[in-house]
Amino acid sequence: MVPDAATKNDPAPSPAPARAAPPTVDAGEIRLEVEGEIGERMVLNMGPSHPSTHGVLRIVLEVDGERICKATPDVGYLHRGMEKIGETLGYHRFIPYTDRLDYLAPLSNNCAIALAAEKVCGIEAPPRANALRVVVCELARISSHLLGLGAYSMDVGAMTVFLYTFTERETLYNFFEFLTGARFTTSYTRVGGVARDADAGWLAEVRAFCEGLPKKVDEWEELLTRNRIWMLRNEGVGIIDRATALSYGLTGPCLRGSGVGYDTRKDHPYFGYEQYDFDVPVGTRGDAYDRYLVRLEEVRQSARIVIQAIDKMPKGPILADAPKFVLPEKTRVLTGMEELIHQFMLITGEMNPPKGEVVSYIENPKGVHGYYVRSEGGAAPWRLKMRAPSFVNLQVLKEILPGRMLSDSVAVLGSLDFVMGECDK
Amino acid sequence: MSSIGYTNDAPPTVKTAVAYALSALGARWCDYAATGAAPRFRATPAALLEKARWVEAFATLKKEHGFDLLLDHSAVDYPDRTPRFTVVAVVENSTTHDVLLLKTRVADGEACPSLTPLFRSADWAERETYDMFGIPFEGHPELTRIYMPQDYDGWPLRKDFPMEGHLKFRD
Repeated sequence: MVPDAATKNDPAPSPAPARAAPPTVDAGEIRLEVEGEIGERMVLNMGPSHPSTHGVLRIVLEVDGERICKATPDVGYLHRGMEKIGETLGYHRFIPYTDRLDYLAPLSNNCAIALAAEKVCGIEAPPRANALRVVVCELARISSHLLGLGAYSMDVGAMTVFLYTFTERETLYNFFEFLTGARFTTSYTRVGGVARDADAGWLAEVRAFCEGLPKKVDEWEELLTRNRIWMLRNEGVGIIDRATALSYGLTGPCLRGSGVGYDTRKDHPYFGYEQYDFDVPVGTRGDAYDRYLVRLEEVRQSARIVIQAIDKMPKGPILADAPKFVLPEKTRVLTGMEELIHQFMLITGEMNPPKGEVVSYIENPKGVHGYYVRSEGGAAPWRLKMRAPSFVNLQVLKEILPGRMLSDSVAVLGSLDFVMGECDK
Repeated sequence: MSSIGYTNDAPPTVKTAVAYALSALGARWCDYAATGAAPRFRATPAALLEKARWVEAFATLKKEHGFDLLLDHSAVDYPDRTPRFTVVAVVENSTTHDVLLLKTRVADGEACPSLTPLFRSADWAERETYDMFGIPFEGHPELTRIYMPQDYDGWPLRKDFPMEGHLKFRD
């Protein structure tokens, strides 16, 4: 009678529920169709406040156990309408906003908008301003790559490198503070030049720092490059082949890691980059490890460029002589009536650059950054379209994450080195 | 009307084969001489295409002339013009580093052909343009808003979008 009692206690098997359409899982605004039975695949929200997404990137991951089946990046949590702000405020007043784009390299962003505005107005910055821009752009590149490398290695588990790179970043931020008056929100450039001149002492200190930098890079490399754990975590992870990289419009170290030697500084020289001797490192396999190596080499090359720029630093004015477009010198604005009126008129909109279209790109640490500007005259651009490299680069996630383990996503994100302030505009 | 002049002759910086291919597709080249700007500040050759030839032009450029990098893709709003929108795209040959700016005109509510079959970077770029201007892209795999919430009302980068005022947000 025992078997009978056992069957009595068992509930009757319920008929399998009829399934017409695949069930959908509501992950906020992104609706995912889950193939097969719910429970085999799980939807995982990575971000928008996950430590390895460095900001507010959200990736909706569909995982089968530890394996990623589908990745849907969701951006826009930091959208502030930068383009609309630029189209309303005008060229001069938009410069401080560019600090908040790629906030790891604000000096580089300042240079990008200044160059675009100068092309619209039809003026050129004097040689000393251009050389100073080269110095600050390369320092910004070093600073951004150091943070990228530090955060990347920390996410993958190597805490030490982060402490080393942040020590150097502290020195760089002291340089920025001395030159621009701010550590972070630098607003250093002006349409037609730069805001402040660098004195000889500052230049000598920066030069000494850059001379010592390659040796420090070698030290960090000893911690990582042949480190077995680092290699296992990064080699063969997040492979982007050449054709995929080009099709997704990747630029910067992500494209160069895939073997395309594309660098705006070489291919469309601006700020007089053609006078400086430097190499463009390229990867061979396009994996996370290659992108790491490319960034590390770029730090060394940037230090080389800074040293050359300081050695060749021309003397002369730091603002172009074009009073119809260029703000007067600040000390004279604060002391002279004419200059005050002049500045007031330019800022409030008495500026009339020629009509037409300008495409102006520079090589930011994250990739090609710049503007398509449509001018209809007037102090504000009719259309200010910003090319945000992080926005373009992040698209590739949906291609390279599926098929990888969940923990690889951290290495892939670190190796792409994006910043959401710029991605979300 | 347009403040830029258009001619049938390509600027001398454009390679002959490219100029011939685009002119055969009915491209009209931008001429900035009348705007008073020095040519070195308007260095990017720009061409205006018919909407029907938009994808064909990019396909020709990509497959026959090596323009494989779609750098930028967006739109410009002219509320007083018909057709209202100009869709712009910057494309580059990653080997020779020739850059071209291509444009086409789209009326309000009219769809623009999508470049997603040619360039995967066009995916998010077109979603952004749709999000900001409300221009639908025909043939796009998943045309949803990318920055703004899905149920957002209005197109922020249109010129008639108010810069001040209050919006009622959903609960």
